[in-house]
Amino acid sequence: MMAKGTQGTGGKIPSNEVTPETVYLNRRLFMRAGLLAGTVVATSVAYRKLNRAGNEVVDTKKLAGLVTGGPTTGPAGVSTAGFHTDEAQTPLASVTNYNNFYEFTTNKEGVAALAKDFVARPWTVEVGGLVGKPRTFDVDDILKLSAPEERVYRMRCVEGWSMVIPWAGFSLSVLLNAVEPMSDAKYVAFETLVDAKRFPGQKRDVLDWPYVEGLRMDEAMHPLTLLASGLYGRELPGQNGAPLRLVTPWKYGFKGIKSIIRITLVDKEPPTTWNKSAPNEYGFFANVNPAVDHPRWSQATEERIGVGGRRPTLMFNGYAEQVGQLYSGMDLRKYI
Amino acid sequence: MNEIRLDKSAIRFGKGLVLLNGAVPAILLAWDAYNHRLGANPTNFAIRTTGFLALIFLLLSLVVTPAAKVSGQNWLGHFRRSLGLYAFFHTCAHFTLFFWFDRGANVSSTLSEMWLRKYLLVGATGLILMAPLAVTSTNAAIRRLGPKR
Repeated sequence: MMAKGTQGTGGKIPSNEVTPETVYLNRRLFMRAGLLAGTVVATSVAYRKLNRAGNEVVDTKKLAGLVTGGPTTGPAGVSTAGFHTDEAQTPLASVTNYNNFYEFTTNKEGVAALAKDFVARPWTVEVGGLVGKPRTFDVDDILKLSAPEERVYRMRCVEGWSMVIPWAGFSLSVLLNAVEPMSDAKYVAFETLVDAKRFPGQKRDVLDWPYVEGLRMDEAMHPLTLLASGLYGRELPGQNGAPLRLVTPWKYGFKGIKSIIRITLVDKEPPTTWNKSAPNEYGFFANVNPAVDHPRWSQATEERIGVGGRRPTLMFNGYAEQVGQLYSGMDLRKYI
Repeated sequence: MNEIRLDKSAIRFGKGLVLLNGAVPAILLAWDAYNHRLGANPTNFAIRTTGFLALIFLLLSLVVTPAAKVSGQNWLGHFRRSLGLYAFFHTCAHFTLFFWFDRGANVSSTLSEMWLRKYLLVGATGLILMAPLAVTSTNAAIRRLGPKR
């Protein structure tokens, strides 16, 4: 096609200036090869840019004084049943590159990159409401209340996947007891920091910020309920809720509110973010229950991250023995 | 702009170009899967990727005819079939990955999940609608079914 123009004026071109056919064909071949290679490289680069699996490496500080003594850890006289599952632990790379943390982004695999430079100090946590000794703690003072214990919990996300995570922290009851709850405190309300500079996802109204969560008092005081400050023996990375988060292993993961700045004891059931966002899909309790499907998918099975294949989901995520009695007599189809 | 006329060899080359570039994402996905580089939830990653690719190729194949008409560049029509077939290929891969890896090749669990997640029915309908188009896209089928050429 390119040759046509020159051929049309052929009479005026001396024959020694006409490109010999072999050279012309070689040039055409050369250009085509270049075009082929160029577009394939461009397509590959575009695919790689647009479709990345998360692969950030975590290097937060190692926790000092971590108690890893197995099932014997925990405050004296408190049952430590369920503190350590011996199931295979989900690799650190998966725990830290697959996160539902909408404060950063709704893309689970993109949270780690956005949280890489998250600064979790200085940080204060206001603990108040119906307590005898309300107090605004520096987070490091909270961490001094008790030595961090390693707790290996199953974590079941409401989306249908699960992990086994070696958390570090201590029971929330330690902190609550320190501020002396009043007898009319029936619930505990939690709140995440709002700061669109550090949480770029908060620039969009995907959820009603701040993220808020709540527990009934007996749930909050249960020894399994963990105030976590680390995982895999390290300080919590930003994507997992630095510097302080909640872990309630028998509930769906979204109950585990991250980057907490306020804990308030109240007498009425506090609002919770996902319940406000979709009341027909998420209740206040959010207990893991394979018999009650999410309105849009089944909760009977789960994908264990790092293992592959689906396994049956257990009632209360396998913690029925420890927490079942908290809900005796309640219709768990109604109180989802 | 005048219509560009491509000779036979240029058309063949253009088709090869589209075919090769269209294969790139699937090849990279397979390569990453082989090297365990699909992140924490590889099944979900592969299902999501093939789904997106199916949508992209479907859109591209649907854009070809209007784009050729509007611009007068009729040679664009030569690439429509490969784009459509890539859309079908990724839709098949998408469904197979879901059936095989997400549902453990369990038919009843696949069907019940499709019933619960209504959007899966939308995808399945798309797959069913595309199948006869793919089957009748061979040269022989076009000769038998299509207009006189």
